[in-house]
Amino acid sequence: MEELEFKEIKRLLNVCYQCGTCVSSCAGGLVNPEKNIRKLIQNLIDSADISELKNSDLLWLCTSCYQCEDRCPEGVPLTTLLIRLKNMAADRGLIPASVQKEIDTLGTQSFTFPPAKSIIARRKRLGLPDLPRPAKTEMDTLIKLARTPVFKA
Amino acid sequence: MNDLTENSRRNNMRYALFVGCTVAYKLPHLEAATRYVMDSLGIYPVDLPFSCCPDPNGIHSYSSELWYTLAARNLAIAEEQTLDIVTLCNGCYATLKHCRELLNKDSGLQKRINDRLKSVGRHYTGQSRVLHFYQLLYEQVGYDRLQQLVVKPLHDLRIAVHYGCHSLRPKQMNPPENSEHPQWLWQFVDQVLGAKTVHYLDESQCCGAGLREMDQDTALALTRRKIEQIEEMDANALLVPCPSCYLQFDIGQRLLRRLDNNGITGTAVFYQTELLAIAMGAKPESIGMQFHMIKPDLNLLQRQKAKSA
Repeated sequence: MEELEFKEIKRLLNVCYQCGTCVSSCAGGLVNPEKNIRKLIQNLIDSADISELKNSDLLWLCTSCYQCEDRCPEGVPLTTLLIRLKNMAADRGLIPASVQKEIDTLGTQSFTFPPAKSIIARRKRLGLPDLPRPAKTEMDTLIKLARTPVFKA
Repeated sequence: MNDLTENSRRNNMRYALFVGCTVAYKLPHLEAATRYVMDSLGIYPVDLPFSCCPDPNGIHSYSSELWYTLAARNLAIAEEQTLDIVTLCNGCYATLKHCRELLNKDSGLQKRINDRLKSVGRHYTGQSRVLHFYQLLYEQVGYDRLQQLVVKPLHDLRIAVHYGCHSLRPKQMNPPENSEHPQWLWQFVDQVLGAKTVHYLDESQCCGAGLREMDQDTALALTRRKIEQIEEMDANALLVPCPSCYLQFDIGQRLLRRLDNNGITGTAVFYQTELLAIAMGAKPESIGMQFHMIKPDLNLLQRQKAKSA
């Protein structure tokens, strides 16, 4: 599933009969009608490639709550397909600033939130142990190896 | 105890404690409550050099290959100690469990990931199971035993619950009832805490945390919708099993109050082990309840009468 090509994703979407279950389940779409996953599906079907996809920033407005995927009567793994499409977009350098910041923090700190001094002090006050940290060199090696593409995106 | 995992039986209730970034470096008071509960239950936490799980939304969306690789490293570290992992966060649970299932199912993927792990001297086999802390309480310890350890039932609390998406879905990774009809948190309120469960409309809806960094307006609109429904039902507490949801509700309500004077009044948010620790007799300040943004009414928690014998 994680290695699907764009045209295979489109083929999986072909069974959609526009029932709208995904739209009515979508967390983001519930409070913001601009975020209409059915429109995104239509745009996908109309595009030959990820670079042609209109409003591709909509891809990144998924909370990955998996409600659309769990409820789709046709069994389309929508959340999983959105993640694959975001992977493709990221491979082409289309990465939102907040995600880029998260990657950078992971790369330098091995965590998504760096340990702030005030929190370290709070941990002590609460009698919590110093947590063992991963070796930076080990993390650097793995991040570098994982970002070497192993299949065509 | 029922249905012990093989590792936990062999290791006499020792678990690799996967604290996760959010609890460790934003909400350490949730870790204090959890360690208090583990200690009371005779469960021994082992701290290992885990990294970020990594994040099942941001990092997974950026690169599945990176997501698998770092998750497999975390799993391999627990395997080296023949320990099962217990996570404190829905997100860490989703990542580690999801990756473990995919790695165990797909030998090609497992080989590719192991080729990478080899260069740092590690190897993934799939031996260590991944449990969410709720499962440790619900499946491994059992609510009957928890109930016996409660000395201060929280009879006066009217509790709304929020399970959080990643303890429930995707459905093929979880018990079938979880996707639409989970029971374990309601039962926990009723059977263990002795409090009242308050139902509201969008119980299974997302809290908005997944969009906190990407699109704050949409994230807060989701938070507001749930909180308004919870306040409408006159709940005096919101219980969550996930630190990311806790953060979204606790900080989110403070932001919403600042943005909108006519908005919400504020409902105290509690992590599952916080209320369990209180019901087991912990002092609120010893588990860091002063670090909540929406201040809980400590008198309400303290004035509960001790359970009659």
